[in-house]
Amino acid sequence: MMGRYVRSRVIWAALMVLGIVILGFLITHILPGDPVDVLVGDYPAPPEYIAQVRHEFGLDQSLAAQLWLYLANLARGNLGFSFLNREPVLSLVLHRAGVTLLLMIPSLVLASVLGVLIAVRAAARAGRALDSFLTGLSLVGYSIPVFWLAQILIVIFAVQLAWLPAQGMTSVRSSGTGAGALVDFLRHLALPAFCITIYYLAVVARVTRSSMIEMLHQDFVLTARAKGLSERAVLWRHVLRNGLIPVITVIGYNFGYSLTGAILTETVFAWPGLGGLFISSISNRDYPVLAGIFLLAAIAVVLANLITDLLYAVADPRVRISAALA
Amino acid sequence: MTRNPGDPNTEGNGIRRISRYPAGLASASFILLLAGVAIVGPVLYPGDPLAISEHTLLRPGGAYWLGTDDLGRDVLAELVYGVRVSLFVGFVAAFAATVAGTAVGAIAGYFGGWFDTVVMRIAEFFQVMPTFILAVVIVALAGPGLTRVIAVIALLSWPQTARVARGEVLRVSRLDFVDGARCLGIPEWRILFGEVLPNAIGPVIALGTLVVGYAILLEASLSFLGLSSPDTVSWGRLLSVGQRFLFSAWWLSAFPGLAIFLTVLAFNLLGDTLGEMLNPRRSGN
Amino acid sequence: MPDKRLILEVDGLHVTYASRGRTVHALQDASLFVAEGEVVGLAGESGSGKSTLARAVLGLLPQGITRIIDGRIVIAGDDVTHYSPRQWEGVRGNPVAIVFQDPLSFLNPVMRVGDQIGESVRRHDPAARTTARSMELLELVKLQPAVLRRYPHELSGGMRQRAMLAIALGCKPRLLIADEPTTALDATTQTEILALLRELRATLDMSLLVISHDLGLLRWNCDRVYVMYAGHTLEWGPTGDVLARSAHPYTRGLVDASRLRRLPDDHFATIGGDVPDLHERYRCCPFFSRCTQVMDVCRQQIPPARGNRDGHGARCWLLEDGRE
Repeated sequence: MMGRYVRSRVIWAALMVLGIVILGFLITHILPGDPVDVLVGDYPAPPEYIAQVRHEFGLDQSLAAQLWLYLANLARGNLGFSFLNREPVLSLVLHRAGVTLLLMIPSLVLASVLGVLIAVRAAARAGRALDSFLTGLSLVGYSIPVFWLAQILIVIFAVQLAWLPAQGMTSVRSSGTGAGALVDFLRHLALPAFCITIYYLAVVARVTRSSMIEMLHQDFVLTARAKGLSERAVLWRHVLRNGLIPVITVIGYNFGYSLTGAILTETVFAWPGLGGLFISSISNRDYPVLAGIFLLAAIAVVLANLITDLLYAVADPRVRISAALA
Repeated sequence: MTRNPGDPNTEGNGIRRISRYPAGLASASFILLLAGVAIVGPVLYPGDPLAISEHTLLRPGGAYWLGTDDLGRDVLAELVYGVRVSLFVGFVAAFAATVAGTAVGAIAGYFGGWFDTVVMRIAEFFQVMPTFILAVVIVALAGPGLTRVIAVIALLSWPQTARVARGEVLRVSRLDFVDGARCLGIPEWRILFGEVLPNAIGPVIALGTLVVGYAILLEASLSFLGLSSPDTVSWGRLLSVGQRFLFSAWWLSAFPGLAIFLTVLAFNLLGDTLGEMLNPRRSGN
Repeated sequence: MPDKRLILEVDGLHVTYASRGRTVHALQDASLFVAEGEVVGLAGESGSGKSTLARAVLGLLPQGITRIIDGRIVIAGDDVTHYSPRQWEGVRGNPVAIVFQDPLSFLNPVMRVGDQIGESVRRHDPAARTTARSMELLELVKLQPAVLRRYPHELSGGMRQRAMLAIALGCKPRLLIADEPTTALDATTQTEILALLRELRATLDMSLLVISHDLGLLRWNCDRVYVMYAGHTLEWGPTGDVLARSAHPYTRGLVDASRLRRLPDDHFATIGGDVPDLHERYRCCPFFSRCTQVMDVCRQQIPPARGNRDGHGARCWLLEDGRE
C-alpha cells in the first residue's frame, strides 16, 4: 500500500522535474533574441567559445534536436559557464545555494519549533486574543514586502541602535574559528533569519493551533478520556499525534515560498548566497546563471514537496489507502 | 446566499452585514482613497516626478513632506505617481488571470474528463514552482516593460483561480437545481455560464482581490531587482534606490515600502473579508 | 434490591450547557440506578438527554460549557458529581467504562487497534503482559489476532464496534455503558453485537447499561428499563411491565409507534406535536403539549413519582387520580 503511494508520488515528481526542465528550455530558446545570448550571457566571450556553444546546444539544428541536446547537457551537469564569475554554472549555483541553506534551515527549524510550541500551549486555553494576534501576524507577514522588512530592520537595529550587523555573513575582523566565530555568525544571522521566519512562524502557529483545537473536539479524544487516561497522555498520544499532521504539510509545502523570501532577503543583507548571485546576474545579464538558479530552485521545491508527501503518508495511514486508490 | 432564520450572520440587509466586517470596510475605504489619489494625483503634482532637481537628499519636512532622493526628486510626488502604476498592474493582471482562470476552471469542473485532469496537473505544477524566480527569469530575458510584467504575472496566477473556480463549479453543479435546468432542456453550455457560474463566482471574486495584492507585490519585487523600465515610477524601484542609502537617508526606504505594504495589506484584508461574506457554506456557528 | 450493591446511581440530575448565548437544559430530572449483575436499558428519542446522561456519568461533558446545577451521581458509593478532572481519571474505565456509537470517529485513526487496546490494558491492568492480554481481549470479542496491527479505517463497522468493546473491556469495568451500540450497524451485525454483549455480561460478571431508541432491542436484552423525555426520567421498571403495561402516555406512544401499530383510520400510530424546546426549564410535566390525555394540572405542576424506585413507576398526573 505504501509502495504504491510512494511510486505514484515519485513518478509525479519526476514528471514535474521534466516539466520544469522543458520550461527552462522553452525560456532560453523561445524568447526573442539569440539563444546564444542566453546561453553565454551578455559578456564579450571569445568567438571560439560561442561557436562551441552553438555546436554543443545544436543551435543551428531543429528545435527537437535542440531539446534533446539540451537534456543531454543537463544530464551531464552542463548548465553553461558564467564568465562573470569564471565558474561553471552548476558548481557556482550549488555553492551559493549551500550558503542560502545556511540561512534558511536554522530559520525554518526555529520558526517551526517555536510555532508549534506556542500553538500547543495556547490551544488548550483557546484564547481569542492569541488567535487574532496570530491571524494578524500571518496577514502582515503575507502582505509585507520582505525586502522592505529587511530594510526597516537594518535601519532600526543596525543603523539607529547599532545592535546587530547590517550586511554579510561574517565580519571582516572575525576570528574565523571557535566560539567567537559562531557568535559572530549568529549575530549576522539574526536579522535575515527574522525576516524569513516571521511569516513562517505565524502560519505554522495558526495551523497548529486550529488543528489542535479541532482535535480536542474529536470523538476519539472522548474515547481516550473514557479509558481513564491522564490529560497529558490524551494530549500527547492522541491529540498531538493527529493534530500535527496538517502541520507537517504546511511546513513542507511552504518551503518554496520561503526560498523566494530567502533570496530576496539576501539581496538586502548582502548575504553571500543565491540572492547576491541573483542580483548580479540580473544586472550583468548573466543569463545562464539565472536559468540555472531557476532550474535548481524549482527542482529543490519539487523535492521538498515530495519529501513532505512521503512524510505525510508515514504520519497518516489513511492517506496511503486513498492515494493508492486514486 | 441563503438566509437562515435565527442566524445573526445571514440576516439583516446588506449594510448591516457589511458593518460586521470593520477590517474589510477599512480596506475598501483605503483602496478607494488610493484610487482617488491615482486620479487626482497628477493634478496636485503636475510635471514630471522623475525630473531632477538640486534639492538632493532632503529630510522629510518643510516643502518636501517625505523628503527627496539623491537626484532631488520629491518622494511624495513619486509615491503619488506610483499609485497609478501599482493599481494599474494589479487590476489588469488580476483581471486577466481571473477571467482566464475562471473560464478554464469552470469548463474543467463542469465537463470533467481529460481536460480536467490536464488543467489540474498544470495548476499543481504552477503551484509548486517558485513563480517569482520564474517571473524574474522571464522578464530578465524578455526585457522590462509594463505590458510584459502584467502578462507574466497573469500567466503565473491563472492556475490559482482555475483551481478555485473548478472547485466551486464542481460543488454547484451537483446541486439539484442544475438537474432541474437539464430537465427543462437547457443546453449544457447555457447551464454552465447562466446558472452554475453565477453561483460559483463568490470565492472567485474573493480570490481575484487577493491576486491584485499578489500582483502588486510581484511587480514591486521585480522593480526592486531592477527589472522595470527606468521611466516607470514604481514603488519597488524607489526601494532599490533606498537600498543604496539605508545608512543615510532612511526615508527613501520607509515611505515607498510602507505604501506597498499598506496597499497589499488592504487588498488581502478585503479579499479575506469578501471570502467570508461570499462563502456559500457560511451558516454561522 | 436494597441488598445488592449499586454501581451507578443518578439522582435528579440537572445539566445545562451554554449555546449561542442561551442556556439549554439537556437534563432536568434524570434518575436511574444500576446494580451489580443487571442489564438496564435507557430508552428515549434523540434530544431526550440519554447521551448527555451517558457522558455526564463519566465526567465527559465539555468543561466550561456544561454545568451540573442539581442532583448527584454516585459511582460505587462515591459521590462523583463535582469531581475534578484528575479525580475523574480514577473513575473512568474502571469501575465504569463506555462504548460509543459509530466507532469510526471514536477510534484514533492514526493508531493501530492493538495499541489502542494496549493503552487500556496498561492503564488498568499494569500487571498483565500487554500483547498477550490484548490478544485475549480480541478473542473475547471474536476478532482475529491480525486485527492488532490494523488501523481503524481498515476494519468493517462491526469489527470496529467489537474493537471498541475490547478497548472498554481492557479497563476491567464493573459497569459497561453502551451508547447506541448498534445504531450505526446493519441488521445482521446488530444481532451479532447484541449476542456478544449478552455473552460478555455473563462471562465477565459485568453490569450493562444499554442506551437506545430501539425498544425492540431493549425488550430482548434488559432486565429493567428507564424512559426519558426532554431530559426527564418519565417511567421506569421491569422491561416487560414498562413496555406491555405502560403507565405513562409517552411510553405508550413510543411502544405503539415502534410496533407500527395501525390506528382505526389506517394511519400509523405517532406521537403528535413538536420536539420539546430544551431552552425551557419545565415547572410542569414536559410532555404536556403532546399528551393525548393532558389535564390542566399537567401544565401547572411537576407530577410526583408514583411507584417505588425498584419496581415499576412513573411521573404522571394520571396516576394520581387513580386513573390508570
